[in-house]
Amino acid sequence: MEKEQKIQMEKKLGDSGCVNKNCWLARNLNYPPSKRCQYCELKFSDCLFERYLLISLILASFLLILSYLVEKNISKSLIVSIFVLIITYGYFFNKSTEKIIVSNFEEKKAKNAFKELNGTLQQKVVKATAEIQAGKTKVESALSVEKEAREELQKLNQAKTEFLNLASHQLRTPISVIKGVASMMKEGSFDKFPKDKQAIFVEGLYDKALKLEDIINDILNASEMASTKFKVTPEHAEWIDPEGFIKELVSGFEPKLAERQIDLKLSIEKSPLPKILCQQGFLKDAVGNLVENAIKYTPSAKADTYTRNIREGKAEINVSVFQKDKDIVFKIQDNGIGVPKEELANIFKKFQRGSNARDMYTDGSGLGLFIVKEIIEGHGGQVWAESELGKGSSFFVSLPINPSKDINIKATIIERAGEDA
Amino acid sequence: MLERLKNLRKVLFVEDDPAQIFMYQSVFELEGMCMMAASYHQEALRMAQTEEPELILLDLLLGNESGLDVLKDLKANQKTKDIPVIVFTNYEKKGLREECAKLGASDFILKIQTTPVDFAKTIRAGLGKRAGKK
Repeated sequence: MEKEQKIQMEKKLGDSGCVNKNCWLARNLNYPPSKRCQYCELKFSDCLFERYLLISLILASFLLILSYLVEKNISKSLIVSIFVLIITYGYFFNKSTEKIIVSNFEEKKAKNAFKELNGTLQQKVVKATAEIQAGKTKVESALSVEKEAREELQKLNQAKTEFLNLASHQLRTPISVIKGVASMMKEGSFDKFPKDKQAIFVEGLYDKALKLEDIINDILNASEMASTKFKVTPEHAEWIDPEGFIKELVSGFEPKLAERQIDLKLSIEKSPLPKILCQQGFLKDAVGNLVENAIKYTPSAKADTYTRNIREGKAEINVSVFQKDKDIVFKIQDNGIGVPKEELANIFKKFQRGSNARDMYTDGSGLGLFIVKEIIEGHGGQVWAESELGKGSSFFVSLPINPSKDINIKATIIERAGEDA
Repeated sequence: MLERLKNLRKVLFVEDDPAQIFMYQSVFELEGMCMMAASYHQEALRMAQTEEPELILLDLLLGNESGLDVLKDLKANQKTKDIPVIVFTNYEKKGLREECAKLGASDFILKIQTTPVDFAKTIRAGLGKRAGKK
């Protein structure tokens, strides 16, 4: 408060009509008795002119008394000369003190202005520094985003090259057998083999043809997903019973499970479960792919013809269907090789495979889970995985019980494919 | 019979696909050669030492093992380093042929570029020449 008043007074100091609140006389008169007073901040008791007057009065009285004591008389000329002296001296004193006070005031004013300028300058520097810092942070964050994008692109490129190298191997391997057997038939050497051997050749031929078909289908499906050609027509969407769907799906895997000596347990939470809207053929592909992976990457006491990773212990796959909030969830759990933790986030991306899966089977396009994701998300659902390396994985597919009325599976997938392309 | 088997030219095929082993084994037999097969790294090294084949045919993708490691080990072993190794695979990438040659492979043949009978005949002809040189 006191400071505020002081600032208020400082502001007025030097202006004409400024009342010095420290000066008793000026305060009581409420106007500056002299022009000089508008520059003064001194108390009345410290007023130079008032002191001059006081001292002049004392000196004049002293001179008059002294003259009376010495000459027993006070001459008129003495009185006149004393007052002339006082007035003349007073006039010059007044002038010089006025200059001193004004120059003091100007000096103070300049100092204040300088101080203020300094303060403002410092503030400006701080502000500018902060702005530069903010700009720097912005540039840095933009750079890091760009770097991330570039790295992602490089990884994708690398994955693509690796995929092409492997894909060419995957495609060539069955073809070289098919071509080999066909060439023997053409050249006639095939007939030189005994019948039982010929039968094995034919079986191998058929197996390799199936394998080739699988690989080609994977590649075609994946490229369709990334193009707008992928068609899921809404008129083919139907309401199905999840229980019947999964039972039928799992029964299709029975020969393979028996061959690999793997136990598959199916559990339905409660019957009947609410129906789900889907394109059955695509949903079969997606959930079937997950069951197939579970069988494939669960090394059992009896390895199949493509892998040698034989593991002790009983292989087990648990498939369950249950309702969670407003979704129907399919869970496919295995006690297989698992997915390395750092790779789990990427397994649904195109051309990505778990490194341990790649080691176990050199074939595999790295497209299966990408296709699963596209199909499920195209249905308005979600797919995710949990896994522990060496202990097993769980894959989840959730589909909404009440898809929004205007759900258009075709449009969703096309829209998503457009984003990817 | 035993005498005839002794005279057969021995070839070791390092390959993990049973269908291919069966096919090449049958054709090599037809062409009068004896093909043994090893489907993983250690088996390949063991058989190369005990069976002393005249030639080794090596695939590069062996499940979770690499044929290049097998090649390195074969060439590092005193007993097997002189057995010629032909890389016989469908896997190809930039610089791979050069790498195989550097590691001591005699040749690099893509399975897809030949037929089993042609391949067996070429190998038999090659073995014949080598035997002649001896």
